[in-house]
Amino acid sequence: MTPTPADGPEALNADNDALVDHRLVRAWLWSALVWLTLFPLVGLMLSIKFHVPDFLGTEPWLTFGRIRPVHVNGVIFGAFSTAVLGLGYWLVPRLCGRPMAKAHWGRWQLWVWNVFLFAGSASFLLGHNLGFEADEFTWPFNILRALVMVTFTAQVLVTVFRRKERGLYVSLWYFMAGLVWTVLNLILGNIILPYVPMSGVNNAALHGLFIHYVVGLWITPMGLAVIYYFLPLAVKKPLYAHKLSLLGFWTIAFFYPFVGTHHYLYSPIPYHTQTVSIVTSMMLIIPVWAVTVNFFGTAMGRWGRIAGGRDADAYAAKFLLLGAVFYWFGCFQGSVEALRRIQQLTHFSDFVIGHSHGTIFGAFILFIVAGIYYLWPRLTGRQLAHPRLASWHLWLTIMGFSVMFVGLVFQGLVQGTMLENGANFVDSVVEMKPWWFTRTLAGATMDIGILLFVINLVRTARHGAPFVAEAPEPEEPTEARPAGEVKGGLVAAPSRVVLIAGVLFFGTAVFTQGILPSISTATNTPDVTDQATGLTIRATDYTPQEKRGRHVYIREGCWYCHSQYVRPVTGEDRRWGPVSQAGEYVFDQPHLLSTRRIGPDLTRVGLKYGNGWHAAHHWNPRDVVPDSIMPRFPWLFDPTTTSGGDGPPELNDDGKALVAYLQKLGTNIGDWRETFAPTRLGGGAAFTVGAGGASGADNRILALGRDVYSRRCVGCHGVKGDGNGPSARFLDPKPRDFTKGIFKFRSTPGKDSLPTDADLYITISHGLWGTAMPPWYNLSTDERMAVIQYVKTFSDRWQKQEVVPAVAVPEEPAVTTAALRAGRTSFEARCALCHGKQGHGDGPISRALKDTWGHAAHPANFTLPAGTPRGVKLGHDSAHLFKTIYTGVGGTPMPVFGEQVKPDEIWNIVHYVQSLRVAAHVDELQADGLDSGEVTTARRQLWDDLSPAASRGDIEARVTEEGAAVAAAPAAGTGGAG
Amino acid sequence: MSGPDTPKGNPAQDPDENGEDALHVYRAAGIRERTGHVPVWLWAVCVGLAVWGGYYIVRFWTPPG
Repeated sequence: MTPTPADGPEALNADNDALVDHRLVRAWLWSALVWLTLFPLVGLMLSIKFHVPDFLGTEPWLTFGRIRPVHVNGVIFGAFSTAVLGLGYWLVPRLCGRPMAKAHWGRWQLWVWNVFLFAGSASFLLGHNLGFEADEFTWPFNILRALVMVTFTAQVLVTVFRRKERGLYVSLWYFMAGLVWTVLNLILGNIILPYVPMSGVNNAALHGLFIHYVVGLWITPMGLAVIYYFLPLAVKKPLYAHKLSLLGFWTIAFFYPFVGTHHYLYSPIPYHTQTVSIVTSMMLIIPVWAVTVNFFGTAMGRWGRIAGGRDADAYAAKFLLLGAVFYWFGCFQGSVEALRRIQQLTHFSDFVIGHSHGTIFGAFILFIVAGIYYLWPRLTGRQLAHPRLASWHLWLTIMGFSVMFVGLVFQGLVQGTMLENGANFVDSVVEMKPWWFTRTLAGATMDIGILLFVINLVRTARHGAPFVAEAPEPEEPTEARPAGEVKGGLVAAPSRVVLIAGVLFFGTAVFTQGILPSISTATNTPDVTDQATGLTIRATDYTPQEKRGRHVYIREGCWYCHSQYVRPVTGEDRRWGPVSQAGEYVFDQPHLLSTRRIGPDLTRVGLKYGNGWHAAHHWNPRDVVPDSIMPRFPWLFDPTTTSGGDGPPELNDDGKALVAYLQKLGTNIGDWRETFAPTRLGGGAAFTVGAGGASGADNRILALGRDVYSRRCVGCHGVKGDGNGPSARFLDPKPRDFTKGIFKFRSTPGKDSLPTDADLYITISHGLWGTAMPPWYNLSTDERMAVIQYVKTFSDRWQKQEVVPAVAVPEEPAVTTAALRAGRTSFEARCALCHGKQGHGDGPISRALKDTWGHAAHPANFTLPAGTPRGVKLGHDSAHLFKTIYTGVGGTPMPVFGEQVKPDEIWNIVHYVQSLRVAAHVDELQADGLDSGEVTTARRQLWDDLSPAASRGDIEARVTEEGAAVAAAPAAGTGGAG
Repeated sequence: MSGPDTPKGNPAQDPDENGEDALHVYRAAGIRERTGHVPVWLWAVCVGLAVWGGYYIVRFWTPPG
């Protein structure tokens, strides 16, 4: 007798086993269990590295940047997708009333899929990485994945179109659409993004879509298909509302394809494109609320049975509903974090990681876990062996995941708030460490839950009691009819799902959010605004060595922790440098904007530190920055130099290339450091700790100074302040030896005189260009003043000698042509012996010069841009140059000219030196494409930046133009000057 | 109006086979599904978000200032 709908679901199922190949589904789910155990465990390893950076040693294949894609892709395509494909072989035939088309393909697909996952993960560990987040697999593995996805999609579509079931259940809408979307997305991610030439900004716009298509058009629809299928069966009730299913599906299908750009808000991607992504992100509240109402409506009236049930179906229901709760929270968080103000605070932080874990693990992994719980007895013929283990699994998941989710969200808010309020970046990292430790504990708790789940299923398959399908409860008085087309429904036919949801909406979104913005000239041309002059120049491509370095940067996964765009919000332009421009990224494919800042943004890192600093930092970051959590990269060094010996380890070709790439970053907008406001801060008031006897206040200041010193300075200057910190061996010039109490830049007269606090404050705030000494303007004024007092404790000069008053810098005279000519004459007479006639630092005796410590002393090359080795260290501004010439450079052969040269002559030399840099700077701008008609404007602006005297009265135009001519023209008998 | 969990009538007697309480069965899967309805408050959320979305797109099509 043929069962009727009134006989209930189990009776209907009884003769349907022939539709499904149980062995095939079992095989897929066994594989899923392996990946479900392994890949989250990799995440736990990663988590430990946040608070124990040297965990797993220094093998390249176990470093953070290589493991991270294993975890992310493993969870998406291993743990989740393997299970989904396996579950698909169950639910598609049952919803269609006929076996899956070409079901036997599932066997080779499983082999191919597992090879893809295993070999693909191994390839990450070996450093093969495409450079796109969530799209890191290289082509051999993309082919394997596509082979399975395309054939599986074809099987599902054929099965659906030939189905015997009249109705088309909501799970099939999601299954069909998700597969079609993903096949299209693989074309986008595996072919277009890496191989179709495009600028970095356009690359990012499309990649933002790709990332969210993986999440929103693969994981989401497939996960929802699973819960829609298993929830009514597990709770043994009808689905609450078909109309809610309709609302949920079509709003997801319509809005989701547009949202991906929200990954790169405040980037140079066109503003309106970002706005559309924000609005559509918020509109996703509609489907999320619709589907969750549907889920909980379905469970209504069964809470006692679900909560108290101890069979597999009950645990399936528990995990489904738990996942639905996390889905609601995670998705609501995801919508609101797209809002600009929220994103200002939270983007790049663990807030986003909270969202991704909240949805991927909290919802979708739990959905497939529930599906497996439901199917396992039906696949093995055995009832769940250990309900108690399932209960532990449930509660460990609830506890572990709740702690992880809430912790990540709040630590993101904490870090975002710290940075918005100007905290030093590494301080925010230190603040995160206890949170990361808690995250590790939470993750371990979740992983233990998964292990118990797997153990339970293994024991069920071997030792479980025979499974007997539960008899249907005769509580539904309503007569049910076979599902058919719903009048007026938008999903009356599968073709509409495929064509409208799958193709039309997807195509519209890719066109409007990805392709249209790429038509914009601004995103395609290398035109950028020079920061010093405000005029248009052109960005330049990478050299072959820099390109190699970029490859190393991608290979080692540096981009997982370092972003490369400065946003115009939360003070990022004061923290890192000028806001990013579209033209800077023209040569960046793959773009490396990144979505995370575990370390600082690197957009403007070029020329911030010397090459030696980078070498020391890659050898051991904690030698340089004790609080750093960056991995070590010893494999970027020549092995013949790393096992002791006299010299420091030396970078190999990969390491040198990486440093060359880093030094290129951010330099395409001209010489911006010279005019960067935070490095031009003035000094504070001077005082002396201990004057009149040490007081409690003094001790507090010294304690603060000691703390600052031990976290910022000790790596180079050493615990004893003798300039022999652990990274000093890599550095040239060597770090200052504070024990002698001799400092380079002072405003106090006399050879090697003690500097004022204001002098040291300026040096600390500004940093010393071309050396390892970075600017520390992100430290608070209190911290900077305190560390100055602590530095003074290293030398008894501060106790024995008084700091004499600073020289009074006389009013700067107007810059005139005559002054420049006189300055050149004085320069050639007094300075050229060391600095060279053209100011290149190559005078006849320059190679023989030594400093107080016996190290080579290199005279400054005045023509070089800020940050270039052997250029000026504190800039070309008038007052600084005057003081330096007047007081000399402490500890070097640079004499004190103030005792023998009159101030007017010093000013002439200052202006001549400035003219050397102005001329060189104009040449650089012209080489970078400055329009010849704007040279005069550029020169005038550059002069104004360096000298307030250059723009006085009506002499301005003549000086700026003629001054350049003076500098540029060869002087009779003396050679050129610039 | 009856809720989907407390059906009053038999949809077989309902001239509208897609009435709120109508119950559909997917035979091979054993899944049952009600036609159901979208709550009014959820429609209000839809309208509210649509109005806000329209405003936001117009207001922030170009950067402020």
